[in-house]
Order: sequence, then structure tokens, then C-alpha cells
Amino acid sequence: MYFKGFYYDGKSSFGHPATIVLTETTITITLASETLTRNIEQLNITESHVYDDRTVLKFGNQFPYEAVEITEADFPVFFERTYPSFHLKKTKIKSGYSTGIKSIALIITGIIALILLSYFYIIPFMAETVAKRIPQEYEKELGSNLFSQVVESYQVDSTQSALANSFFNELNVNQNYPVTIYVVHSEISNAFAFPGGNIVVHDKLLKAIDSKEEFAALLAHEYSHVAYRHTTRSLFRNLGTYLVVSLLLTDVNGVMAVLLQNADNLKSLSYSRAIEEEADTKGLELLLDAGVNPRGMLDLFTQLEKESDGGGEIPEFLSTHPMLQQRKVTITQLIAKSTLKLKPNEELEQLWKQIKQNN
Amino acid sequence: MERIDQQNKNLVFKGNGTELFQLLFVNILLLLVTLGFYYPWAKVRKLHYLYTQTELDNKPFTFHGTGKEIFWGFIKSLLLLVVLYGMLFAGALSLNPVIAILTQLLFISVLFVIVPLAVHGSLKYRMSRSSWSGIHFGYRGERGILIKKFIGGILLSIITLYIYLAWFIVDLRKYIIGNIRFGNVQFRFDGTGGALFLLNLKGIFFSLITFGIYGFWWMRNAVRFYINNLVIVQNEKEHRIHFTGSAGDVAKLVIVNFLLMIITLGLAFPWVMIRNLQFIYTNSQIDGTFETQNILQTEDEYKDALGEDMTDIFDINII
Repeated sequence: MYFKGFYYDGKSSFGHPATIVLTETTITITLASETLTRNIEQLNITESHVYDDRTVLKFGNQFPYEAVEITEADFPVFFERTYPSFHLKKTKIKSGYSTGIKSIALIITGIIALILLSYFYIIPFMAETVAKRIPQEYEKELGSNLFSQVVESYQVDSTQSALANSFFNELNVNQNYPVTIYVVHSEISNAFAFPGGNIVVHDKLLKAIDSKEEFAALLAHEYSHVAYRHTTRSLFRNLGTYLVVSLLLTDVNGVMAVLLQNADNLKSLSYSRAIEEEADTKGLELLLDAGVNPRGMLDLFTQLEKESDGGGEIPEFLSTHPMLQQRKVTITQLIAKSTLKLKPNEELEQLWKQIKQNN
Repeated sequence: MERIDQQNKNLVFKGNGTELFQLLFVNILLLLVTLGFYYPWAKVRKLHYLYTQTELDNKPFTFHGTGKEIFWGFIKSLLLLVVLYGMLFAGALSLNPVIAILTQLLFISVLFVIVPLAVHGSLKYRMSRSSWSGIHFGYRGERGILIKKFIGGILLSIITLYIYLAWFIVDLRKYIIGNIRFGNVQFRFDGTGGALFLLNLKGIFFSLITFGIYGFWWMRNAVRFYINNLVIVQNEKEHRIHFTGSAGDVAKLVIVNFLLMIITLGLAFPWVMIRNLQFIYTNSQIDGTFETQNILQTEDEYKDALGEDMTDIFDINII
């Protein structure tokens, strides 16, 4: 049994056409001009290889090696039968089996499902778990850091701020985070909360509010953002998805990056809706506990809608507080389900009158 | 005597997208299952495939690297990455602007050294583990010189508002290509910074006034610049490579690739990769007097794979 192949002397790239014969202990390589005999013990087994379409045998233990290349498919089988104690390294690169379209589609679906699952459930869950474990102290520090950067650009109305703080204290909220309210001057209707307890209310919004119930509703809503760590939680969610998305995208081109990132924006939008809804629900509970008429929250929403209908620019408060109509429906249903115990609070009324007078 | 009318040679890619897709697919699955630690083996499988499917004179290239060799380089690079990014995050989370800026500066300066180090290590390993017809490639560049060239080039580029960038790119290319050996065959890069600068300037200008359509010509010119300036030197004889692709060919390649990626949501990328390879191979004609049967072994073996993965982890493209 002989095989056709090429012999390389290791010194030059010239491939000598060769006939290879395997005997019990030797390999004979017949070239055009000479015949070489190599003992099987001279075979360098770590450098020899069976590839998909050829076998390369190397001889000697010093680089550069002499080599024989055989492209005949039955050579490896014959070789191992002749030398049972020599096992050639096999590098199978092509899968060999032809994967059907069906199984490819199935596996792809599986992977996509896995990615979606981790994207929508596993990562948010892990992010929430981490966010919950962030010490309150660190959250406060992060919040006051962010706050100090933002507050610099504002003019704080200290009289109104003091009144607003007293007003909030009258609501007797069980404060896990000590809250400080800042009334600031701005041409835009807005209010927002920082992690750790600082709440900023724009005076434009304060002017638009008609009743103490509405103001209480606004503060209760913002406080819920603080108490339920909404900023910290969304920060960790965004970080988590960002990390995974960028890991996934290292091999994919820019178009995909843009597509996926837009999809991510949509997701954070829906998450922010969930956050707003939670702040509404928890804020409503605060109002009920304080004995304030919860319809103040509905009035607040109506007021905000008016602000946006009033022409000019859309209040920022609205753009971050989507689906006002839907939220009104939800709150109306919740009020209908709850038992109202209104407690007249003279102090609250007085404070509200003072705030309104200063406006 | 030497025959001048010999047919041109070019590299031929024998593989196809389906095979590469299957290979990459299995790689991704194993990477997921092993939380990424399969990476060195995945990479070797991919290189093995790309090398053995690439032929010159009907003979394939061989990649000799192993996952085991690359694994330790991978672990070291990973540790370095963790330390670097850990430092960066710690700096940002300290909420102290001074510390944050200092860590960022440190991060950037470390990168300045790591990038050329990684390029050097990767070239040295990859070249020594590549062969054709038993003749091994090699890289003889020196680490120190590359680091100096790199840092100097980056700084000069920044100072000159990136005008120097073209000269920097050409200088690096000249150095790297000039130090690659394929047995006793050497390479040389003849391009100049000025030519690259003008090419890009022209590219930007005409792309702007033609709403990007000139981009295909720009791309063709850039590829032609890199390929036509590559000289193969064998026994003191020079052999040139000619890029024959037209701007229309480039346009067809780019547009079809783009559509393939969009329609398949990116799953077509193995086919796109091969289309790109085949485009470059078939359009790069090596002057036929290059004697592929007469290349002599010159390089030693080298097995240190640190750098091989660093270039991937830090997303550096070599050549």
C-alpha cells in the first residue's frame, strides 16, 4: 500500500512529489532523485496533524522539521492500523455533518430566547438585587453629589423652601430618608427627586398648583421616588444592560449597535413608566395615611395637562411623566377601592396659604 | 533565464460562509457555556479554518497555535483588564473629581504602553505560528522601538490636530511590515504619509460634495494604497502586488454586505467576512515572478502568546 504526497525538507518551500510507503517500523519516502527512510520513532507526534483534507507528518525533534503531506482521505486510518501505538492529533475544523436549516433555526431561536430572557428578566433582577444592597449612606452621598452639581445652576427661594419643608413635615411621613425640599426659580414647570432625599420644585409649577392637596400629592409622589430608590435602581439597570449590550456588540457592526441601543431606550422608557406608577401608588398611600384628600393627585394631573395644553413648550415634567391619562384612570380606581378618613389639618392649611401669598 | 510573462499569483479562499457560520456558531455556544473561558480555543479554531482555507499556489497556510498556548496570555490580559477597569470604576465611584481624573489619566497612560506591547506580542506569536509549505513566518521588530514610535506618533498626532496621523500610520506600517519574514522572503511598505494624507483629504472633500458617493472611490483608493505599496523582496528581487478592484466593485461589495447584515439582523456576518476576504484576495495580483517554490526557512520557533489575546481584549486591529 502506497500513498501519493509531498515531501518538504524543512529548509525550503519546495514540495517534492513523493510516494510514501508505511512498513512495520519505517516510513519510506521515495522522491524523484532519492529514497529516504525514516524510523517511526523519529516521528514528531506533537507536531504531526490530521486536518480535514490532509495529513501532515513531521520528523525530528528540532525545528525546522522535515514533513510529509498526504491528501488521500484513507491515510489516517491506514496509519493508525499500521502503528497502533501512535495516535495522530486530529484537528477537525469543518463540522463534517451538514447541519440542517431546521436545527440551525432551532438553535438560533434558543439563543435569542436566552438573550431576551437575560435582557428582560435576569439582568434587571440582578441589577435590582445589587441596588438594594447599596448602603443608604453611599446613596445619600451619590445623591448629594449629583444635587450639588445641579443646584449651582439654580436660584433657591429660601422662604418658600422653608415653608415647603414645614408643609411636608406636617404630612407626618415616616421618613427613612430625611427629606429637604428646595423651591427654585425656573421658567419651566418641573419637580424632581435625588437619591438620598433632596427634592427640587420649580416655582413655575408651584404657582400653577391650586390646592394644598395637589401640593401634598406632588411631594408624596416625589418622596416615593426617594424612598423606593428609583434613581439608584434605574442607574444599576442601565449599567447592567449597557454592559451586556456592549459585550454582545463587540463583534457586531455599527448598524446593529444603533438598532439595539434604540431598542434599549424604548425599554428604559417603559421602565420609567413603571417607576412613575409606583411613585403614584406609594404617594397615594402617603396621602391616605396623612388624611389628605387623595383627589389632590387627580387635580395635580389635570393641572399638569392644562400646563401642556396651554401652548408654548411642553413641560419637562410631562415628558418624563408619560401617559398622564392612563395614570389618572389607575389612581381613580385606587381611590374608589380605598376607605377615606380625612383629617382636617389647620397647620397645613396655614402653611399652604403662606406659600400661595408669597407666589 | 527568468520568465516575465509568468501568470500572476493570488491568494485563494476555498471556504464558504456556511462552514464558517457553523464553526463560529459552535464557538459562541461553547463561549456561553464556559462563560467566555473557551475563548482561546474558539480563536484557534477560527484561525485554523481561515488559514487552511487560504491557499497560495494550491497549497494551504497552516496556523500552528494551540488553545493551551494562548490560554495563559488570555488570563494575564484578562487580569490586566480587570485591574485597569476596576481602577477606573473605583476612581469614578469615589465621587472625588481629583481621584477620578487621576485614575483616568493613569488608565490612558497605561493604555499608551499596553497597545504597542500587545501589538508586538501578537505579531511575534501569530507570525511564528503561521506557515506555508513548511516555511514559517516571523516578526523581528523590537518592542522598545514600537513603543517609542507609538507614543511619539500619538502625541505628535494630537499636537498637530491629527494631521500627522497619516504619517504615523504609514510609519508604523513600514516598521511592522519591514520586520515580517516569510522564510528568506522580506516585505517592504513603500507608501508615504503625504500620499495617504492627500488621499484622505481628497476623500473627505469629494465625499462631502458628492453626498458620500465618492466614498466608494475613497475606499478603493485606500485599499489600493495599502496593497500596491506592499513589496515582496526575495533574493534581492522585488515583486509587486497590484490591486485591480474598481470603485464599482467596492460599491457592490459594501452595498450587498450592508443589505445582508440588515436583512439577517447581523447573522450573515460570516458570509460578509468571507466576501471581504475573497474581494481582497482575488483583486490582489502578485507579480508572477515571485518564486513560491524557492523560499528558504530562516525563522526560529517562538511560543509566547502574551499579546495574542490582549489585542482582542483591547480591541486593537493589527494590519
